[in-house]
This record gives sequence, structure tokens and C-alpha cells, in this order.
Amino acid sequence: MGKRNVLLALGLAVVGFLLAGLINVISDQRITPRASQAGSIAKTPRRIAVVTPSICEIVFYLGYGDQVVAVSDFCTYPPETRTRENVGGWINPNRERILTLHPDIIMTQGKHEIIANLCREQEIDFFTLEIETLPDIRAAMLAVGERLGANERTAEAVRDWDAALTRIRERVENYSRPSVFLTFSRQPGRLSGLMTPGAGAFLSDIIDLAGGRNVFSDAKGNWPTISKEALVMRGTEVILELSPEELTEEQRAALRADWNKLPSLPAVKTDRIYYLTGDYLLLPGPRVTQTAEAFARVLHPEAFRE
Amino acid sequence: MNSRIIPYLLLSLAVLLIAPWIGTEHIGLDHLLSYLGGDGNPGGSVLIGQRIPRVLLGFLAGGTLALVGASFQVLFRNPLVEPYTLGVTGGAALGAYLAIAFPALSVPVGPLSSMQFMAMVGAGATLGIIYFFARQQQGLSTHTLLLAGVTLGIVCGGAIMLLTYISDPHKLLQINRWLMGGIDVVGYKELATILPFLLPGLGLLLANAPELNHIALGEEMATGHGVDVNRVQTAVFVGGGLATAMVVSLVGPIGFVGLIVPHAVRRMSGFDQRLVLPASFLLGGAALTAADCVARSLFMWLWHSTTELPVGIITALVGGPLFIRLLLSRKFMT
Repeated sequence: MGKRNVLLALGLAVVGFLLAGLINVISDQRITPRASQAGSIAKTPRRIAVVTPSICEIVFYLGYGDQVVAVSDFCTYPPETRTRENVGGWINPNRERILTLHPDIIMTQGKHEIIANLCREQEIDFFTLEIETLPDIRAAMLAVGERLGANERTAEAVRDWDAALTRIRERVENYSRPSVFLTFSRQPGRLSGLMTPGAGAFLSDIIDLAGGRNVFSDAKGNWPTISKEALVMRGTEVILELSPEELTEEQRAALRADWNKLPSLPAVKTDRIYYLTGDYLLLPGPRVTQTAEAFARVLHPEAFRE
Repeated sequence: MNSRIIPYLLLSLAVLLIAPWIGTEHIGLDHLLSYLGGDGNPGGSVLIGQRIPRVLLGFLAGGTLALVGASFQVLFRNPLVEPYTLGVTGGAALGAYLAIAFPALSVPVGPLSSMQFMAMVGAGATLGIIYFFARQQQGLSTHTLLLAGVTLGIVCGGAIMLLTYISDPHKLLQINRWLMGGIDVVGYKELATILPFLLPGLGLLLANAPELNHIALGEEMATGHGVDVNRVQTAVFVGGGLATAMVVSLVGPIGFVGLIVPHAVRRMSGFDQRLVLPASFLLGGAALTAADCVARSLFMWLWHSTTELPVGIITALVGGPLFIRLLLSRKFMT
């Protein structure tokens, strides 16, 4: 590389280190705008920013909707969210807008270093948790309730929710349990890249609760992509296809026609292929009670005959 | 360097002065003044804590990419080379993706997020591997470097596809977002962290500009002029690779700045690398900073929405057509 180049590089590296150190020292001292307002972090959050739909629905379901000041693009339920300030996407929220809304807590789901860093820099409370299974959803409701001050409504809301799920379970538990293959967001025309909930996904728990048996409940990963061969070998009595968006008649017919390529599947023989649509179906939040009921109704129509 | 650099300096200065005032939140001088007066004005804190670091990082990143692109195009004597041709981005993306996919690797290091840190590790590892292979032959073969870089990029791409295929859907969203590039930072610490490696990288490129003038004429010619070709090639490769690795780890892959800005500069100012290299840095910085202004305010101007676009989308959508226009113009030559 040459002596001159090595010396130059080393010299600049030293300059860079010194500069970096200087910037760190200065920003620690000067650019912590909220540090001056000592004690500004309230024990119980009053201004909530929430960026993931699951947590957003939980916050509203537990009765803290009035305190929500900011939501993301994906928080579309309940309808009141439309009246809240929008702070952009979930992965890349608009941090300028978030700060001007002065939240005292930012709530998200999973690992979110961008927001975690923002909260650390600005001394805002940071709340996150993982929601994968059905018990996770219940735990999340309790955790959110506790963090936001555990009011009367929280305990009552969780009791109502438990009761709704129990009613569905009791209604179908005496019927035989059909095997169920669940898939979602599939492009019509191809039976490839079939995604299904594995053991660790809440939809697997819900199939179970609604009186079915997930044929891939032993699959590794929460949302594995499975092969058509494995599906044919295992057979399935019911196929559930979920779509967050509404499907037109033509789309349904096209999706349905694809399955005729696998005529040996019991579900294809008996025509037990169902299409469910709704924005709540793939969301691990309070509205899984609706998902569970929708599943139970197609798996056990006889149980819902009045 | 001579007075012909002055227009580039003025343009950069103008962009740097205007850019901090553009964004989704309207911030005026009064916000800044009352913040500096000590009342904790949120507009002022957004300006100081977010806008200015973002503008600085954008300028530094755009300038670095354009400078590395300009040097590499001469070093490899190939007009299509850009900083990412060496596979550094592939390595960085693989590193970032490993940080997303495996919680054991998601440990933030200092002010860097785990994605940024792992991207740095991945980019550094790729550079090391390419350099090692190129060294096997006597001297540093630019041909080998180029081919090894492209191949490593493809290998990393394959590894990413494998990881994406077996990952949770919500992780796909994160890597997808990373691959679009973005310069939204908070505070100055991330910027500070890359300086110890970025500055030597930039310095090595600028210091070797006179020798690159000779190399542009061909390696034999340069040797005839008394230039130690191998030494210059090594310095430019190491410097450019290091600088790219640092920038990519912070902002992700941002396309086209490193490719088109050097061509634009050469068209406007000729082929003297002593002018082309610093001018590329200034124009690249100004271009990316301006593109980021658009990226962060476009939805605001159009629909009053606070959604920000990743800057990579703007540079590719605007830079692509510009580059084609440049290719088709009669005066184009390299």
C-alpha cells in the first residue's frame, strides 16, 4: 500500500476517533432536549403512541383509546384510530412527527431498535412484547393493561374475552375433530409457496379451539412454507383459505379451481374448502374471538344450527 | 485542485443550508431560536436532534458513494462500476439479515443497532475475502477483484434468499425495508461511530487522485511514468472498500449516486481526477441530500401524509432516467 498511504490512513483514523469521541461527549451534554424537563415522565402514561395493529387494538379494547395520540398506517381498527395523528409506517415511522406529539410511551411489538433508540435518546417509555401464540395474546392484554395503569375495564375486558373463547370451545368440543389445512395470501393460479401456521402460531391454537386439528401443528417455525407433497401425504379433511382483503366471486372461483390439481385430498373430494375474509383474521389481537367463531362455524356448522 | 471546484462548493453549501428546513414538520427559525434559548421547543429539538444529523449523514453518504464510484471507475477502467459492484452491499445485507433472523445476533453495539453492526461485519468480511483472493495472484488483479466481487454478491444474494424463504413473514418486511436504503437517523452518535474508518477511506482516495490520472491511461503507461501501480491500486481498493462498508452499514444500499454522479462530473469538468474526485464528493453529497428532502416530504406535499419514502426509491426512480439520458446524449464519453 505504500508507507505514505499507511501513514495517511492511520493519521486520519486517529482524527476520526478523536472527532467521534468529541461528538459523543457534546451530544451527551447538549442534545438531550427532554432531560431538562426533570420528572416529565409520568408514572402512568397519559399520551400513547402505538405503531403495531395488534397492540393498538389491545389498547383500544382495554379502554385506553382516549389516551392514544399517534398511530401508524397499519392501525386501522377500531374506526376511531382514523381520528388520531398518523405517524407513518411500522418499520420506518416518522420520528419527527412522533416527537412533536409528545408521547410519554411508545408501544410496539417484537424487536424494534429504531423506536427503542428513539425512546432512549428522548427519554420516552418504550413498551414491546412478542405475540405469537394464543396465550401470548392474553398475556399481552394483561401486560398492556398493567403498564397503562390497570383500570377496572382491563380485568373486565379480559374476563369477557376469556368467556367468549370458552363459549366457542364448549359449543364444538363434543364433535369429532376434522383435520384442517390453513393457508393465506396465496396467488390464484399456483399452488406454490403455501404458508401455514406451525405449532407456535396463534392460528394453530385457534384451529384447535374451534374444534379442528391443524395438519401441520408439528411443523418447525411459526409460519412454515410447506410442500404440496407433504400436504397430499398427510391428507386433510378441510381447507381454510384466509384473505385480509375481500375476494370477488371470480377470485374465489380461481382459488378454488387450483385445488382440483390435488384430487386425492379428502377436502377436495368432499368440497370442504372454505374462504374466509376479514382484516382481523391474521391479526393476533382481541378480535381472535371473531376468528375463532368464523373457524368454528365452518368446521362444525351443525353446532351452530339453532 | 483549482477554481473550477468553486461551483461545486457553492452548490453543496446551498443544499446544506436549505435542506434542514425541509421535511414533514414545519420548523422555522423562531423554533430554533427559542430552543437555543433553552425552552425545550420541540421544533428546535427535531431540527437539532434529527434534521441536521440526517442532512449531514446524507451528505457524507452521498459524497462517499460518488467519490468511491469515481475512483473505482478509473481503477477498473470500466464506466459501469459503482461502489456496490465489489459485493460489499451483498455482504452488508447478509449481515443485516442475520441480525434480523437470529435473535442471538441482535445485540446493539454502542450507538449502532444490531443490523448496522452486523452489516458492517458482513461488508468487512466480504472485502477481506475479495482482497485475499485477488492477492493470490502476483500483484493485485483488477480483473480478479471485479469478478470475485460480483460473484460474492451473488453468493450473498443466494444466502439471503435461503434465509428469507425459511423466515417469518414479518421479518421479510424488515429486510425488504433495509434493502431500500434510508438515512433516517436520530442524533449524531451513529455518524460519529463510522468516522474512524470513513475518514481514512476518503483520505486514501483523494490522496491518490494524481496517480489515478496516470492509471486512467493504462497500467503500462502509468508504470512508464514512474507510478507504483500496485501500491495505488491497493490503496484505492482498501480506501474505497472501507468507506463503502461504513456507509452501507448505516444507510443500506442506495443506488445510482455512485454510478451517475461521477459521469455527470466528468461530463461537466473533464477528466482530471484531481478535480473529478473532490467534485464527485460534493455533487454526490448534494444530490443525495436533495433526494432525501424529496423522500421525506413527497407524501406531505402530495397528500398531507406523514409517511416517509426510503431515499433509495427516489435515487433509483429519478437517477435511472437521468443516467439513460446521459448515455443517449451525443457528448457522452468515458
